[in-house]
Amino acid sequence: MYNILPLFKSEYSVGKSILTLDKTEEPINEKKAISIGTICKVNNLQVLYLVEDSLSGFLKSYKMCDELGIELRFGLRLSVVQDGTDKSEESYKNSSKIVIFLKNTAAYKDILKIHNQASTDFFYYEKRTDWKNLRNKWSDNLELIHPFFDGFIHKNTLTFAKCLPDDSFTTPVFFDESESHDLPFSPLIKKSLDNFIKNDNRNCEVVKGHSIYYYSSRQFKAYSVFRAVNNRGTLAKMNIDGFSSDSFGFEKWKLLNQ
Amino acid sequence: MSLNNLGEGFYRYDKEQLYATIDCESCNLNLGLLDNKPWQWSIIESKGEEVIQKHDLYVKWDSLVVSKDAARITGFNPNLIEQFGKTPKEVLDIIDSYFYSSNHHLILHNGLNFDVYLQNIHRRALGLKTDYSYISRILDTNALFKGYKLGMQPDSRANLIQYQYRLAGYRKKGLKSSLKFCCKEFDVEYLDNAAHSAIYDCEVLLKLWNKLKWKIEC
Repeated sequence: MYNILPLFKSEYSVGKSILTLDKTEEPINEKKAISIGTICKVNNLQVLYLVEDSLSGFLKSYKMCDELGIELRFGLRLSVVQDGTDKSEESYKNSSKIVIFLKNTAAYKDILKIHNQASTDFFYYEKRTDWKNLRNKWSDNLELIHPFFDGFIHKNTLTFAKCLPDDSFTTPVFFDESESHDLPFSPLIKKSLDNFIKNDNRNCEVVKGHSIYYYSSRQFKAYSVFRAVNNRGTLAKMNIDGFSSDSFGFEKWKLLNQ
Repeated sequence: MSLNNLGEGFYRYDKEQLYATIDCESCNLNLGLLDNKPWQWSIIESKGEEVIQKHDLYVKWDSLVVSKDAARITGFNPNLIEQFGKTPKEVLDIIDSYFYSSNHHLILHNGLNFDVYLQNIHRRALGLKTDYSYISRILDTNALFKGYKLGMQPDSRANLIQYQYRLAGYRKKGLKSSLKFCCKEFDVEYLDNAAHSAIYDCEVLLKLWNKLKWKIEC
């Protein structure tokens, strides 16, 4: 179906995307906020991969896909640590991201338990889970993904973090975005990913993905303004390390996926 | 143990290694928008510690908007660009001849967090594709200085770029690594009123590298 998975993120991941889950409006008007539904409809996408930082947009995305006759594959992106009760700088430094995809309707109840604990008991600067509680709450209705950016491989390769995943309760999938976004450090992460997979005996699948936060490179400036404002910076000084690529748009995915 | 091989291949003893010390000045600190074009590139080519040639290149873009702060800090002078500026293509051909030369190691201060992205903006502004294939040949003195102050060493030359990336993004209260501070630490003269002119920064940066390399065990 897709050579590279289009991994959409909407405005419900606060501060990360300028795409909406609003009513579809054709044709696509780049002078306004663009709905993911519109993009899917105009481009005849049958499956929507939506990776969000919270569950708050889940219902809206579900209804949108239902109206459009599109299959929704919803993933929740969370931080994971060794011990969720440890609210120290060390714990924060050694956190990494995971994505949990919902395989079916029953998965919603499972993800709610993980999400709610992450948002309350284990919250420290951000929603967090830990490997022990993830194992206890895990079910076959869920799929564990290690994302390319901010996952444990990225953190262990490019920072001094020591992220130790304890994901033996499932066989995770790894996303590979090394060829998608024209970033200078992607080859380093890719090399570490390849080494990890080679030495891991679980035959984990590596799937090519492409994160999407806006429609096209023509919206990169608007997206930059959005990110600068959210980061208390300006266009002249954004205060976001490595924020340099205009390749996180849908049109770039479309070009690469051909 | 062979005493003959101690330090073999270390930067400090290699008098044959070619280097390009590079610095640029731009309109602001944005890393991705084509509005932030680099208007000056300076390069000093050296072999070991011997300077071979210098380039001080002003870029004559069709339009340039330099923020007030950037103009003040860098001494931006549109008259110099008008008088001495070369076309963006001419300048890119010169700088890329070093960036993509497999014989040259590239000395930059905070280059991993800044200059590499400006080189990319310059390429994209001319319709060229992104190409960071030179990354593994970078010697980022900002990162290397941090490693020196923290007492950390790279485990090998092969992993030097990963070591530098870790340090490039590392911030700790009290850990200063500006070019001025690094120069002070290594007794390299640094004149405030000349600073942030690309060619001057390259000159002090090369002097800094020639001292810092003695602290790197690879």
